Amino acid sequence: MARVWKFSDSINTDDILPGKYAPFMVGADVFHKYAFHHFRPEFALEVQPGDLLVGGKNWGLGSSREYAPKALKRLEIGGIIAKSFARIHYRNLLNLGIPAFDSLEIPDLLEDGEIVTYDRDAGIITRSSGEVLRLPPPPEFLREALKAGSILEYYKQFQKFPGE
Amino acid sequence: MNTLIVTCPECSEDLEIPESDWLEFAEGDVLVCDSCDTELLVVSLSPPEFEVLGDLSICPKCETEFDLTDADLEHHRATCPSCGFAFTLET
Repeated sequence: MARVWKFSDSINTDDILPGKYAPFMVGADVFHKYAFHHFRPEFALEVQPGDLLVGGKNWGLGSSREYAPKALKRLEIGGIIAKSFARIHYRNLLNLGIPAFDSLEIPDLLEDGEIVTYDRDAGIITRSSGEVLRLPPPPEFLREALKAGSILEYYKQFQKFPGE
Repeated sequence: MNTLIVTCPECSEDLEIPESDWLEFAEGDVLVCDSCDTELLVVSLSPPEFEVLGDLSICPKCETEFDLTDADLEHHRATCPSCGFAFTLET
C-alpha cells in the first residue's frame, strides 16, 4: 500500500530539500530527514517506502541541486506523478532511479492522504474504490535502468548506458 | 586577406577577425558574437561560411536532441517533437 502525498504546482527543489539542510550542511547521513521541512514538516517523519508524491505543473523547478531528489531516493519514494517536470530535475530523478510519470489527468484524480495500491513495474495505481489508473509507461531505456536500480547503477553493472 | 569581417546574422554586429586569428580556425570551431553571444559554427574556411547554432535541448525522457524555438525560450517550456514530453526549462 502506498500513501499519496499531494502537492501543488511549481514545487521547487528548495521546497523538496531546503538549501540549509544540504548534505554538506547537516551531514550526508541525515539530510533526507529534512525533505519538505518547511513545506510539510510532517513529511519526512511519516513518509513510508513506496509512497507516491503527486504534483502539478513544473515539479522540480529552480536549482538543479541533485541532493533534492537524492533525499527522496533515500526516503525510498515509490514514484512521482506530476503534470509536468523541470528538465534537469526530471533527469536527476531518472538517473537516481525514481520513477517519474507525467500525466495531466491523474494528479487531479488522486487525493492527499489517499491510500492506494501501486504497482510500479506495471504502472498501475488501484484506488480503494477499485478504480484503476494507468500511468504512462516509461521509455524502454528507463525500464532497463529501473531494473538495475538507476541509470547510475546500470552503468556500474554494464559499463554502458541503458539503450546503448 | 587582412581582416575578416563577419556580420552577425542575429544582431548585425560586424565582428573583425584578424588574419592571424582566422588562420587558427578550423571547420567545426565556434565563433561567438561579442555583442549578442550568438554562436556561429565555422562550416567552411574557404570561403568563410558560418551557421548559427540554435539553442538545443535534449529531451530528458527519450534523449532526442532538438532545437528550441524562440517561443520555447520565452516561455521556458518545451515539448519534445519525438515523444511529446513537455518540460520546463531552467531560467
